[in-house]
Amino acid sequence: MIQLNEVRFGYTRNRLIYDGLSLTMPPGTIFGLLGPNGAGKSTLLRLMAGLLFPKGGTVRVNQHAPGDRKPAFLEDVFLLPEEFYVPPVSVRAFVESNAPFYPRFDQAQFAGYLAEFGLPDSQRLSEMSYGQKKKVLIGFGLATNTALLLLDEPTNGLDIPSKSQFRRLVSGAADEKRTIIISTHQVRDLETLIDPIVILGEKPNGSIGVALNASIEAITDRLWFGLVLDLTGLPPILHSERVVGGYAVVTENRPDELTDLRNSRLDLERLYNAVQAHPARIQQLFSIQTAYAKP
Amino acid sequence: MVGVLFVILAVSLSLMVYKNPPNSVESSRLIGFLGLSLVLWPLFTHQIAADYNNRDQALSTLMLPASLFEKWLVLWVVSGLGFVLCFFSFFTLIDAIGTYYVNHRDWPQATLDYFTQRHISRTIDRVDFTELRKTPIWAVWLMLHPFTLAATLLFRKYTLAIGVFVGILLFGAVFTLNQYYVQLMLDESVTVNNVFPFAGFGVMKETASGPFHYLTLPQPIGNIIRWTVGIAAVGLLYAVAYFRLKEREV
Repeated sequence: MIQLNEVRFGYTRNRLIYDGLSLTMPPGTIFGLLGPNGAGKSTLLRLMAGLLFPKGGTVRVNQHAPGDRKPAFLEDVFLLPEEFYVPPVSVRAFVESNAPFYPRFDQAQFAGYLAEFGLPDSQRLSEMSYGQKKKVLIGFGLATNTALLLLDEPTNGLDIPSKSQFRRLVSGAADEKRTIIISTHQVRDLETLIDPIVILGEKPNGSIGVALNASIEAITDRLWFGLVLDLTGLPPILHSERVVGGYAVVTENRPDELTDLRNSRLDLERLYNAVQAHPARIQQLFSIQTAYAKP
Repeated sequence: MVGVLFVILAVSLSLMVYKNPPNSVESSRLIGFLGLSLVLWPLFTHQIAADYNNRDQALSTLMLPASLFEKWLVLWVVSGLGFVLCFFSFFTLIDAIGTYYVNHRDWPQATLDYFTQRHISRTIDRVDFTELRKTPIWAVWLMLHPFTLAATLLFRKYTLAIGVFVGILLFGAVFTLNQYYVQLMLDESVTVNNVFPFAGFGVMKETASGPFHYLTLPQPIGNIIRWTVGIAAVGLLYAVAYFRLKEREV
């Protein structure tokens, strides 16, 4: 369980990125963390990993205060950053020197991931492409079997087949004790993987808050995603854009009036745009009490 | 990095020390040892500790499931003990080769005649590191590591300039000021020779017993003060480095 309570954080004294951010993330889920550039997605992951210290409020990860950086906490969390350093050693040597730090590291599991990605364990990490290095680290992170796995833009740099491999491997590695948080801009890559969705957005005071934190089921229950020929006669539209053959829209669900609009398929990109365009209405629809909702 | 250290040592000592006559080699090699270490140790320490100023490298180290003390200890052992071991080993090896070269060198007849006239031995023994105890600079030498470590972790930018070059300049300034204050404390008719911190010093004054006098620190208070100040300074600098590592955010 991850709990952020009234977290305040900023890189400079004058500008806080988070000013009273509260968020709870239960285990057994693959969270998708979305937000605009500069919204502090990576910062949030680093706060959870204990690499940054909150200026106020508390961050708790499975009863640990991440900022203490205790070995008991660190052996149960793995962070794959967007930009990373790998030592100039072979994959085998990297695993031999790092795996002993993680008590639940599964060598066979890691070998399976490497085989899936088609990577040899004899190759030096420094000789690999960015995408190959990332695959090694993704495999290593999954094989650590830590209770918290933080992945920052994991599909950046992966080729198209690797993205589907990534989805398959991550969904296979998820279990009821594990929390996986994936921060991404590549919403199409992960649409079928992440649930629930956390979208960060700018609050009226300029800081970043949770604009949406909901399961796919709750989202499709309250919102409708579809393609229409024209925009007349629809429930309140939260987002629309012209596409070939009409308009792609996100509307509020009105089950009492338009029962045929129920059970649409979630479109993450359009959901994201709807949330950024109408944060206050989204807050009301999902009943989250934050600075977005008007009194 | 260890390979680079060996090459720098080998080239520097070959050019500066072992190409000289035997008597010159004997008198200059420990100066070479100390002089090179004064520059190379801070550089070596900076190279190791600066990983914590690189966001990606720091992240991979800080996320490793080990205690802060263990991470600190690794840093201390590699940059401190590791350097000392490598430096002494390399110096011993290079000195063994250099000594062999000096002892088996074919000198021109004119040079041999010069050695005979001046009673200069053609052969030398290998370096004796216990001689280092007689050089008062060793106490300052021990501060190089904690100072560089603290400076590198305290400042995130320009750490090479601050931790190494400013450090060396700072030690130079300490020497100069030390000499200045010692001179201030003494009578104007006394000329103070080079004064090393934590050590006695020579003064020039014409007296019945001769012009040169060596002033030793009064004991036991002299040793108590210098050891207390030295250990406190080293401990404080290591503490600064430790807590900067603890507070490091990436």
